[in-house]
Amino acid sequence: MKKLVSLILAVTAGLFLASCQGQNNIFTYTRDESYTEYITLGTSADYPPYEWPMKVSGKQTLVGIDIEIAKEVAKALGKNLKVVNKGFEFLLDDLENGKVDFVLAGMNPSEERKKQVDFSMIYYEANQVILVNESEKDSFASLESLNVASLRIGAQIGSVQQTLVEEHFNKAQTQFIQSVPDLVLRLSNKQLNAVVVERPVAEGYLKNISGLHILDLQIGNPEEGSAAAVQKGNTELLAVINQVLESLISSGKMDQIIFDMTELNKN
Amino acid sequence: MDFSFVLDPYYLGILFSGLGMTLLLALLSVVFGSMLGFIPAFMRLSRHKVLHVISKSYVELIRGTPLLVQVLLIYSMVRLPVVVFLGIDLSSFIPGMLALLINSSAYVSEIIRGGILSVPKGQKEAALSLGMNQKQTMRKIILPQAIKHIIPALGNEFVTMIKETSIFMYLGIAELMYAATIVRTSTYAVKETYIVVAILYFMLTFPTAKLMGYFEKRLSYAK
Repeated sequence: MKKLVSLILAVTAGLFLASCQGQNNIFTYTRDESYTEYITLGTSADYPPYEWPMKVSGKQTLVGIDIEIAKEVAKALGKNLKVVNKGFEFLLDDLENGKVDFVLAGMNPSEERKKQVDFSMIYYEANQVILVNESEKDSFASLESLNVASLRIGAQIGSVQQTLVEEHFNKAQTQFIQSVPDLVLRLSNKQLNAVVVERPVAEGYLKNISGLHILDLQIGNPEEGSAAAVQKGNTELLAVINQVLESLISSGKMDQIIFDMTELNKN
Repeated sequence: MDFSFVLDPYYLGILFSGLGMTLLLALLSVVFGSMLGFIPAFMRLSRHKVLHVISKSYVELIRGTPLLVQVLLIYSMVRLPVVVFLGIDLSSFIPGMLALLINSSAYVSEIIRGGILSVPKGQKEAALSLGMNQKQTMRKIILPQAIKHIIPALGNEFVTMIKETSIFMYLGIAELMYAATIVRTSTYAVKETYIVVAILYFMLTFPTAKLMGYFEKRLSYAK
């Protein structure tokens, strides 16, 4: 019995050390050695080109448009950046509970979300598109042709795409799940007929998975886009974020970031 | 199907450290869950009506609700700032572990209770008639015999826990399923990643179950 206990203890200790040296869900980005404080970003890294995990010089890190913006925000504040990776629907709760300082996750400022948190200006206007299988693209000429009870349409749960699907395809079968990669898997397995995602995200999949096609249809309001979220009433941080976003957009650096990240995602 | 990522040491590293974390979570939950499990087990065996009812409702409540619900509920109630300790995000690790412990303690308490009840009544009566008190009887006569029934069942609980920990992916605890989401997003090989992860889980659970079967045999000789 004592042997068993000590064995268990030894294994536990070993595992503890082993898994600590491995990966975790927190990533730090040192902006400047002299900065001592950290600002914490909440994100959900399964959404290229906004944010996704990648190997950079042998180490696992998160990259993407949102990460680049967060780095700029951190720099403007004179702080280093810490990024916490969680499931998408946890992000706003974490923000409300003060676990993170701000959220950048390709998040669209919907009315429901505005009740919970405050949003910055829109930093990226993204069109929503409909991703379908190449083999079926000819049968979907209009939005109405997709709104049929025999079809199944998917979107990420809790996203604006979900609302769009509910609005436009009230007759079709719908499926809302958490992860976009799973949605696309189901699409290419023909378990779904269409998936509504943002254009840059859809283009990433188009480049990496064959047999997919983006329909040439307009869905949703193109004015909508992604914004940063902060705790309700945190006007100080919001002002800094807006300032950073404005200077990024007016200097053209934002276009560069978006271009770079879209390219990075293509390989 | 493209399994080439399996040969990349980077992705292998992610998956195996996820495997380690899964094993760690399962071990911690069973070991500490067993210790905690004694409390409701004894409460339920006690003659006090109130203790019996409290423990019975605790066990029934925990066993009657999904672990996912318990995890999400506890996560939303325990509000901790993001603190990194040895590379682990404690703000999600602690609520997650707490939920797992509560869950595990309820299941283990039933295992312990079953083990204690499996000891023939004559053993207790004999011990009492020899002049031992209740405490001595429990410690020296009943528990050593009950352990033989408890240990193998704990092994099964461990196997169950290995599978249940996959829920922690949602909280961002870097266990095997979380590792899978990382690999899945980086490689775009969704189906293949799930197949590899299923194999890894099986590599953990199958030998554990076999090992427990062996222990069970050994312990039954000792009777």
